[in-house]
Amino acid sequence: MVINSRSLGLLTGAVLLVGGCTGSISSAGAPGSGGQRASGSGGSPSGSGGTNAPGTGGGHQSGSGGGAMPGSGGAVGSGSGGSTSGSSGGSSGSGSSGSGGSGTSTADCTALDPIPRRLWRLSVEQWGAAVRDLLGLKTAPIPQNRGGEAAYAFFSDSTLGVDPDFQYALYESSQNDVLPAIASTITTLAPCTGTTASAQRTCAMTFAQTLGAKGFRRPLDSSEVTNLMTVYDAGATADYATGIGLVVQTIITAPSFIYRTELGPTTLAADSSGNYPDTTLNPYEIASQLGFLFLGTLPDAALTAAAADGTLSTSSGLSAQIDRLLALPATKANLTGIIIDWFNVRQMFDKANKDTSLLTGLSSADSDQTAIVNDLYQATQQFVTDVLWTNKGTVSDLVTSQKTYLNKRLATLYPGATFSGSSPSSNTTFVAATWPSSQMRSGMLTMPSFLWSASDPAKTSIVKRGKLIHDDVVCQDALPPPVDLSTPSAMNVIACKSPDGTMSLSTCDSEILQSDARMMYSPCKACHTQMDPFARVLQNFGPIGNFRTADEANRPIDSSVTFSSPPLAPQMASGSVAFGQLLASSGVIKDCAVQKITSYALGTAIGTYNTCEVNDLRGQTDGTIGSLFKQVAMANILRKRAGGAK
Amino acid sequence: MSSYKFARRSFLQAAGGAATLLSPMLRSIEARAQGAKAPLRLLIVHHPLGCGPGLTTWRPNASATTTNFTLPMESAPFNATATPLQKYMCMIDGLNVVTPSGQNTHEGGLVAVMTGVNALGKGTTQQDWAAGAPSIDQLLLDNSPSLGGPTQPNPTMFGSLQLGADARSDRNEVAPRVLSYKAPIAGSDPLSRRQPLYPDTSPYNVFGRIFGGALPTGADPAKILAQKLSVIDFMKKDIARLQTLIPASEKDRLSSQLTSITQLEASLRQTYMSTTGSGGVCTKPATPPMYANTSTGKQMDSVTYTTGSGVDYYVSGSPNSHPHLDLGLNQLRLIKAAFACDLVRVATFMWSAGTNWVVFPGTFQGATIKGSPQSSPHHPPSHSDPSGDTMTRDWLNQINTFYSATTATVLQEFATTPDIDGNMLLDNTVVVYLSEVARAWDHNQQNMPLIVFGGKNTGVKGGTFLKVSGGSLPQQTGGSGNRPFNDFWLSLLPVFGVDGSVLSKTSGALQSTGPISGIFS
Repeated sequence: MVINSRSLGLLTGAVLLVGGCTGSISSAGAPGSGGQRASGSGGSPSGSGGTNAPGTGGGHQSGSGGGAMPGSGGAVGSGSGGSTSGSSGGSSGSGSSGSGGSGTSTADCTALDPIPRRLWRLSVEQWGAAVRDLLGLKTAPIPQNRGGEAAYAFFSDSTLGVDPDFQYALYESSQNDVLPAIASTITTLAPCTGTTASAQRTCAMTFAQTLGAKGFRRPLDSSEVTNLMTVYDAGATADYATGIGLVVQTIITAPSFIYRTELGPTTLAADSSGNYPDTTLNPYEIASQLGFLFLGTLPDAALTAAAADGTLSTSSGLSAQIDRLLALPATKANLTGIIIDWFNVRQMFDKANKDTSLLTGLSSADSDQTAIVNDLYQATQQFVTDVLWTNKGTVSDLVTSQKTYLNKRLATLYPGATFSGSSPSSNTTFVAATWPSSQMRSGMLTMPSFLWSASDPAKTSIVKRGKLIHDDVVCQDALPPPVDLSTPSAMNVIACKSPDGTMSLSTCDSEILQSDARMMYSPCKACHTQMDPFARVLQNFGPIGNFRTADEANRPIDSSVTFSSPPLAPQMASGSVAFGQLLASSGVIKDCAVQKITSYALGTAIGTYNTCEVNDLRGQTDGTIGSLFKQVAMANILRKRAGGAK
Repeated sequence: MSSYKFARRSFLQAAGGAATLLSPMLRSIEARAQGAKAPLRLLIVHHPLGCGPGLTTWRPNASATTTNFTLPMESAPFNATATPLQKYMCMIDGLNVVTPSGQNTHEGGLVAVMTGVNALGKGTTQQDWAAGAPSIDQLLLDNSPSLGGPTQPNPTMFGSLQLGADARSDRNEVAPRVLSYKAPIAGSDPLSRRQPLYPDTSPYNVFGRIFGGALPTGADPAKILAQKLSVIDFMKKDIARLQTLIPASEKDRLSSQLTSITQLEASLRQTYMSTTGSGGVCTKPATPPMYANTSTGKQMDSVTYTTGSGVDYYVSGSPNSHPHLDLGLNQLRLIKAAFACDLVRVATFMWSAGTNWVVFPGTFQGATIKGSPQSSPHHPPSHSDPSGDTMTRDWLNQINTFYSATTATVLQEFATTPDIDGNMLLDNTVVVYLSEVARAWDHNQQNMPLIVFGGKNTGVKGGTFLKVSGGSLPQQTGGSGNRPFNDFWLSLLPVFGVDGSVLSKTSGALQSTGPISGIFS
């Protein structure tokens, strides 16, 4: 059994944060804004209190007392024992973790920074989907440049702009992908019975108004129509189709298409001191917001109509539209994708480079790792759909279910599952199965896709898995940056020695032994005692998510863990199944789901677990996917915007 | 491949009334056609992970004099080309980067070297230092009257270029992947304030953007250009409309996009103008290949440490295929062509991120890394103590040699490509070859490897090994006498007509003691 404190007799459950894990105290960090212009992270919470701030609002759930870590009394949302450390600056309390508390506002919660009136750039995927649906294309165009956006970003970062490379890529995609795709359907896209230039111009104007309104997600004003017709006229010197093509190209590359506006009424005026009043999204902006949240694309006709007739501005109208959207297959597919992205599974598409010795059970024909990761993704899609939609489960079920989906290749690679019917006979068909209890699988965190994505090519990486789960699955506030790993003390600990290099802890030949050293010694233990346990409990699963009982040094794996840090302290989990059950029973997984979905909906990483508005939402949802997204979509923070200066 | 020389009439016809971008260029071309002076250019080339420990494989030995020296292994390739480059080079030894504690890393080093200013702060990941000032190339672009910056009287079409061959790094951080930065914007969050100019790692995209790609056959260029410019005009009008609605906090975003639209316009004009005439020094290069999985530095995983995908030197099963080499050469040649065509006068090129994840063979140029793996990415083994692991040390030295040799290949082309004034391109181009650390294994930044190249019109004192002394900073091999790295930039700025005070008096500027004599005449 490996724990992070008792057998080593070192930790008491409280971790004092003095200058963070860097070993030095820097000046108080500025409040994080959850995203950075053109850097495209979109995932790591930066915390509203700053990262190295031992003062107020420090990034370790320390509330107004400043940077000391809270004791093991648990965090908000972990039940009756939980509270943050509050004004005393942290203590080593030992409160119980309760059972399934879903978090309520506490006096020392952090309020979300007001969302300013803003322009929010579409992600590459959103742009492609919007173009596809605007024009009825079979596939979405994909620009060759992502404009600062990470390939597998969890959400579309609201700080992104359009740099020259991205602008060029959008234009090129419109030219090389979109125009050829509509070339043969122009007469269907923009029908016109007239044959004279004048008659065709009339058709073109109607087309420009209609397509423009749909593309820009709002009615166009007369000057915009005039400007679009100038474009048409330039193309019509060739012929009607060229003019229409140019109008299409103009609309899909225009700033009004690329950006979602969250500016409120167009009549909003600044006061005499040059400040705009706080406001809310206008109805068309709400429609756009719901479209991109639920459908991942333009608002559909019903949403646009609800914006036009004013019903979307009412609570009942909003609720009705959300209920309607939740019943659509396109919504289910989109939200399933969001849930999968929450676990950052898509990064495995960049990791089709596992040590081939892990694949020896497969024939050479089946060993194409690109094909395998595609299989894993499909299996995950089917699993999530089954748990959350078909069986109307909750996110708790997501981390406790024993179910999976396997095709023939995956069934060979991950043997032992029991099929309800016949086992899969091909790689194209996925069949529902149940993992054997001996493998201790439990939902998403033991899905091969998740484990594959969070591992190195030939080893598991306790650090990667641990950090991923710490930051994004249990939504703990960001840990400070690690120390300079090239210092002698750090290098000694990495080599499983004492910081002064005089004592050797172990042979250091496995991930587990290396983790033991990190959790034992400063300057590493302050952070790694918070991260590593989340991965230690999953050590029975290798780099491709294969079940194993011995590690890379051929030692038996003991995956029992006692958590000494929030949100699960001081609970113990005797392996991955117990871990999943703990995540469910404590309410942590649901609480984190709310935080992540709210971040997604706002395009801003909410880095503080104890955020007031998120706490309110936690109390309103039952953890089913529809309820999660609906409560978030109905929240006032989705529509309120701070005015800003002119 | 077509050569072209612009014809005034077709230029203006195609441009219509909006010829703002073209007129300065046309005047410049006409002036040059009459034998006027060629403009000076600046190219900064970054190679990763410094040079061999102890400097014995990088700098000439102790018996070297300023004008009589032999380049050792890692720098010798510069003199091994068909056109030896030693006569164009001034190797400078004795400069240190001095940064606040913790910033002496690959990531922090890049920011410090390129901006000469303290970082604004660091993000939540390990080493994402936020640049607190514009990088030297952008500082020069904005202040030099001769580099064709957008605020100068005769701007070039594209301002500056930022290219790279690979941008994978240890983590999803900006600092290791970027050389160039614009000035930070106002605000409180360092990471939101910085304005990185990400390098484009796709030669095909660069070619299309800068040289306009391929013209459709049978097209009427003037008519098509007019059609495309109408799309651009709408974009600009749309921006103008949005500008009346947004708060002040969104002005920068739209302003940046307007710049992007202007550059798109320039790219479109390039496509449809390059059709007539022949001769001249401006030659549209051949279309470069498309490389699979080029890493842009923007396609990194957002949470966990990952290297993403990229183009390697080593390709499993294809021992003679080295796409990283090919890609880098293509990029440098695009810069060369862009300089020759006066599309830009300032460019930066990164062989890789400061923490290089390009994969090389386990045995490379005769040296085998410890453990004899089939292959390895460059950065991770670099922290092996060279005193105890000479195998890995030698392997790393060979990679450094490779980067010198490959860069030298293109610099030789600079030295043999005619420029508009009848001299060679290198006669009018200052090339700075630098790295972000001196010694990779412990991030030592004393005696930073630094060479500046330039021909007769640049003022570079070629054929020189300059051992800087008289300073108070420690030397990597013991003793003191070194000077701050910023002293080099203070020496470079006046070459382009910029006073050193734009750097030395910048808030947060790193140490400097003054320009170094002996680099430029």
